[in-house]
Amino acid sequence: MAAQGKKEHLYKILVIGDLGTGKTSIIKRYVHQFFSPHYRATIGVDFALKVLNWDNSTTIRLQLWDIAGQERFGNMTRVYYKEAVGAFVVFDVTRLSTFEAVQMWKADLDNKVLLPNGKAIPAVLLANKCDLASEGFLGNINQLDDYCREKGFHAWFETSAKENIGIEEAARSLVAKILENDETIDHPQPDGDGIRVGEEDGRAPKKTKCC
Amino acid sequence: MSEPDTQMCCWESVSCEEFSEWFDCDGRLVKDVTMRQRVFEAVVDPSCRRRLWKFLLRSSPQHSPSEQKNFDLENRSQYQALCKRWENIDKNVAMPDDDLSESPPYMELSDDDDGDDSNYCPPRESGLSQCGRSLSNPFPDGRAELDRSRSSDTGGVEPRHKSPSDGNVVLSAAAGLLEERSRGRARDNGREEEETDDREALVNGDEAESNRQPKCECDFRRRSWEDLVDEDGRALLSILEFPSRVFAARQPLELETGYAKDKRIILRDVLRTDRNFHYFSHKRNLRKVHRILLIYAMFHPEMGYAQGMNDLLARFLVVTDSEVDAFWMFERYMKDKRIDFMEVSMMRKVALVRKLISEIDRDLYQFFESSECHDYLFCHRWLLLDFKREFTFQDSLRIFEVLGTHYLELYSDKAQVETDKAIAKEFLNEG
Repeated sequence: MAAQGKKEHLYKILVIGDLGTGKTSIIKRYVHQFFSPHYRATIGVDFALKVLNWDNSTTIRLQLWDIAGQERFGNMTRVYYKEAVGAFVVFDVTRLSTFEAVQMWKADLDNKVLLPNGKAIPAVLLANKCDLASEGFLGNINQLDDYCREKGFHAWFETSAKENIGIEEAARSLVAKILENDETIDHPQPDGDGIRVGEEDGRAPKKTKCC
Repeated sequence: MSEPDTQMCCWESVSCEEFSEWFDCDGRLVKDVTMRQRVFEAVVDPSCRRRLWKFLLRSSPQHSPSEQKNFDLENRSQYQALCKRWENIDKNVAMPDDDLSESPPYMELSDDDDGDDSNYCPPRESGLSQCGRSLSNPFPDGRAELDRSRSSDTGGVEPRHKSPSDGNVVLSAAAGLLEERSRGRARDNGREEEETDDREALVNGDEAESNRQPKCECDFRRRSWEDLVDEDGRALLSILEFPSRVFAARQPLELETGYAKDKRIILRDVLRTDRNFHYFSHKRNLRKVHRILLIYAMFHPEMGYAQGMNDLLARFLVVTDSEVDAFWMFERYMKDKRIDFMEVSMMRKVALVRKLISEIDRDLYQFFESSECHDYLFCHRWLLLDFKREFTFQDSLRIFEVLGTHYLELYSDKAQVETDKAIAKEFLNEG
């Protein structure tokens, strides 16, 4: 990476998982520091942009792609996943079926998008709605470390969009991993300035207000 | 006219008087082209909206008022029969009992927000409902708590899969007889069919009336059966009951195709249906959304439920404020719209937008091209929901009407004229 001046990265991050697990809520909390119980179901895809001052010399723009939870439009997600460099896979700790769907989402992800070096994009598992979790679920939570290793997740976090728990930490963890990947991947572009996101570049900021 | 949104004030408006000029004295639409043109150009008084939409959706046959009344009764009878059949099957369809939270979502639907649904028994996430009436058939005692029977002044919704085998031959004969009688009696009594505005009736409805039928979960309790349907109407309904049951029994049904899954998704989405819009702050209205979507999903196994359907239905419910009318409008609308819920056709539609933009706005097209934006998938939601999410709820009703006229599609030369007009206006504005 070039060391001179301030570095800027634009990263495309996917937020996927079963419907009603709180993907939109997590993004709204993370980007707008706001929670509402009345979000509408996402249709297709929504966008949000989060700017992080990572350190004194690095600014990171996270372009968050909030993808609808109903897998009715499978080929469209192929387009949505294109050129993503990281993902959050979300499940709802109060609903077992959403956890069971996690591996389906992860497989779908690995199947449709890869890093330029051919490896899977880093994914962080979010156990959302932890404020509502009952004993039953928390009892098994230690096994999640094993689960993540087995399924190829970089890390997992308990989150609550409502209570603002764990989201910042999860994002930091994912970004750190993306940066690490970024440095090890040999970029064909001479400037090496982050991953090219290309087509979405112009329109993402506009869309953040739409949802 | 009294459109609350100030942005609307700059639109030309169509008064109720002008609206009524499109119909003949028997209530038949005679100026279809004029209607489409005017609705395209101007805002129709919201009080005419309910009637207008039935014609826009081409869901209202050209009936005389009395025929219309029978038709409405038939609609109701069939919905009621569907509702019963659905209820019987639904209570045996299990949903995975996986909700470990302290207040699972179905509880939210049972919250009694307006005090008159005390007997509502929520659907259980865990399979067999403990309460026999689980999702509460709005017609529990079979006495057809009728919707605001839209007698003569409203259009009805088009017949669905009607064939003589549905019993309609017998039916129309019976209806004809009853109609004659009813016409005579109405004249005798000097009482015309109710032409009153339903909304008004709803507002002025007697609460005591609703208490009389505490178990009724329907939206129509504020007007009693007697208010709406005369003796002949009731007789007709009882005649209709059997053919309606046959009709309901003939609806396709394949529970293996994922009704249980749909059921779970529907529940999630119902709770996320325009909750910031006042109409859906009432749980009893959410329950209507819930029932209609479940019934639709059950009897349209090839479609099931897809996210976004709740948004489409929401508009019909708000405009008709009637569960029966909203169901049939939705059912009719989905016949054309279903294709948009299929991936291939939606992709094709999105690709057409690109082509269209390349034709009509070269600069914009070039911008997208230079941004390497070739897929135009950002249009998906716009096209799927007819721009519902991109505007306020009230404005989205207007958008729906404009699109519903198919005015530009019918007269593509008009599209050119409209474009020219817009350019001329822009030119003038810019001096």
